[in-house]
Amino acid sequence: MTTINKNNIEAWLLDYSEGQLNEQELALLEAFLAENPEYRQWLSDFEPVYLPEEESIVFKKKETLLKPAASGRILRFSFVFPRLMAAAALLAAIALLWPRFQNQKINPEMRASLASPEIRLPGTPHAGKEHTLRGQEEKNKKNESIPRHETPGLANRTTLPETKENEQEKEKGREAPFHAEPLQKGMIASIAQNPGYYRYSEIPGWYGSTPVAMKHTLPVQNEERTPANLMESLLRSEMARAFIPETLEEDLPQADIQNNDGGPVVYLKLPPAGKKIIDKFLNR
Amino acid sequence: MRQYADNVYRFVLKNIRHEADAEDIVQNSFEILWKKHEEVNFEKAKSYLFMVARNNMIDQIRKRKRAGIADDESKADRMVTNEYTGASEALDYALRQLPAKQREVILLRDYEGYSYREIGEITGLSESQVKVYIFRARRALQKILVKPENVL
Repeated sequence: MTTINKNNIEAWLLDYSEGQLNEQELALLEAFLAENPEYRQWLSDFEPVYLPEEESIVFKKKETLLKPAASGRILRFSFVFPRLMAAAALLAAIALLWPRFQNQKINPEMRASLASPEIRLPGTPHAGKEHTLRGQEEKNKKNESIPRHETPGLANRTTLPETKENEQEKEKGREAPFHAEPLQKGMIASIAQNPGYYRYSEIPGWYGSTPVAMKHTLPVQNEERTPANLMESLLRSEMARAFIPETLEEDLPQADIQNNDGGPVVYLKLPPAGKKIIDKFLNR
Repeated sequence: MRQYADNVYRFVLKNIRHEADAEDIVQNSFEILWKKHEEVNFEKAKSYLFMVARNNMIDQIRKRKRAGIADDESKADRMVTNEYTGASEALDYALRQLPAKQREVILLRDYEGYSYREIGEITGLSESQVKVYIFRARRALQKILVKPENVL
């Protein structure tokens, strides 16, 4: 503040009462008060009232900021991502043993581990439905130039095969179990070459103007959130989902998406550092 | 997060004095923060939360006015003036008499300890305007509390 006028005199008086004015500013204020003595009275009468600490008022529904809403729409800010990335740690073991699963030579202990509540994953996928973030339709149109399904093997990954078994399941009024295809090296390499947000399933989503992410939720287990964990959780969750397709836990902290009638969606950013994880996976 | 929830809730409740609405506003503010978390600097998360809550609060007040919903609290205040029994109640009563902007800035200053610049960022006011409102708020509180009928 360099000048004093009737519009800002109260700010000056406040600063004065709080001892915030330097000598030059004090001189300016004194000169102003000399010309406008009515404000000198304000100052002499001013006995500021300060509000005492107020600790008795607390928000009693903190749990609602952590858990999914009843509608299934996951709303609450709960530092999900740091915890979300924790899933990676547990899912790491799954990734490492993926080839063994693929050959149906699953160690009974590992199978038990996969089925444990510590590694709960969403159930069946929702095929073929176009999901976009609310309010992003316009952006979607503008970004049509961004290629979709750019990763071989991803486009149909969550489409249920038309098997007799699936037909029978549908007739029973529930969704057929998910049958994931094995991960393909080409697919993973493509992910590695396209760090940043990555659309993981055939369900398109947008984060800002960038196509993203995953179709399903992840369990969260620890407080780590690293690029490596991000990538690992993406890779491993798909692998784990292939083997424990029917485990779905509603009360896990999850991220939100607007049009989530097909289930909550987690958007994961795949940073360049995640490439190391992929390379390691490929070279193993 | 838990601490922020208390802070925001207290700020909103002290302003609108409607528990259910205050809870909705807090939940909605956290939802918005979550959605924008990648755009919000972690260190600014609390300020952002207050800013969002304040905007929500203003929207809520406007909705209630448009809907013609009577401000039961205001009516109650008018009816029970001077019936408070302690310093806390007296201060609470005095706070309710302040214009909305004065109340907002003094709550942010005294309860949350924000600097004038930070309060300006939350409320969209200049630093000088914030100081003006705070000076007026303190002066008004002083006048309300030293009225003969309000002296404890």
